[in-house]
Amino acid sequence: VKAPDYVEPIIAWRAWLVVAEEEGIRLSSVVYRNVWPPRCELEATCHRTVFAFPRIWQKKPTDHPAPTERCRCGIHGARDADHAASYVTNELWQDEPLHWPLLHRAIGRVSLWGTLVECADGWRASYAYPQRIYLPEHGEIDEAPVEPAQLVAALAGYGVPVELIDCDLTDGDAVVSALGMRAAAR
Amino acid sequence: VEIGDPERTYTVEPLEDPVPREPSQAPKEAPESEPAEPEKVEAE
Repeated sequence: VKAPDYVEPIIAWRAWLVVAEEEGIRLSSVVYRNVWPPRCELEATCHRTVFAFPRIWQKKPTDHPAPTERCRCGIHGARDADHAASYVTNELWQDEPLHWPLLHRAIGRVSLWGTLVECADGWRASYAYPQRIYLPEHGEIDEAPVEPAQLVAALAGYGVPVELIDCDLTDGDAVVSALGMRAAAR
Repeated sequence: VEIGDPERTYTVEPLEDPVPREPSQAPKEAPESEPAEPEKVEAE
């Protein structure tokens, strides 16, 4: 039996999409279409596919546990809020169609544990769960019929603090500034 | 999130669960029933 290197989760920053999934309003990863389940950790899997030799026209999923240093898999968390904020404001999610209506975008702190690959600006982990969720108060989402204040109540099912921050989600600098003011006020 | 190149790998096993799980539904203990009074019957 190997003793763990650390006994406290790493706290990092990340961005989420807020989507209306079949079972309710949920957080979703920005790049991959992973819904984060409430009251249960998200477990990383590697989404990469490799050529299936000798049938190179076929692709198969990698069979390694996530994360590893050689791959880019794992649940990502950034060391600083400004790294994560750039994912609140960008349109990466448009590369792959969303399965559910997009309601809003969120930023927050995330607990990471299990196997962690530490990188220059953050971590990739095998397990993660939101630690604190922030929703920008302003900013239009075309499909969104729900007010941010209503989303705060809907996301309470995660059992962690959910707060509005006074900024526009399209302005990354304003998001980081609002997070800084919130931290200073606490 | 673009987080740069890997530097090292380690393991983290939190002492406290980072997930606020649903409180487990503990089965309710059945109330202990009073022992039944012995029935009084006429002595034959």
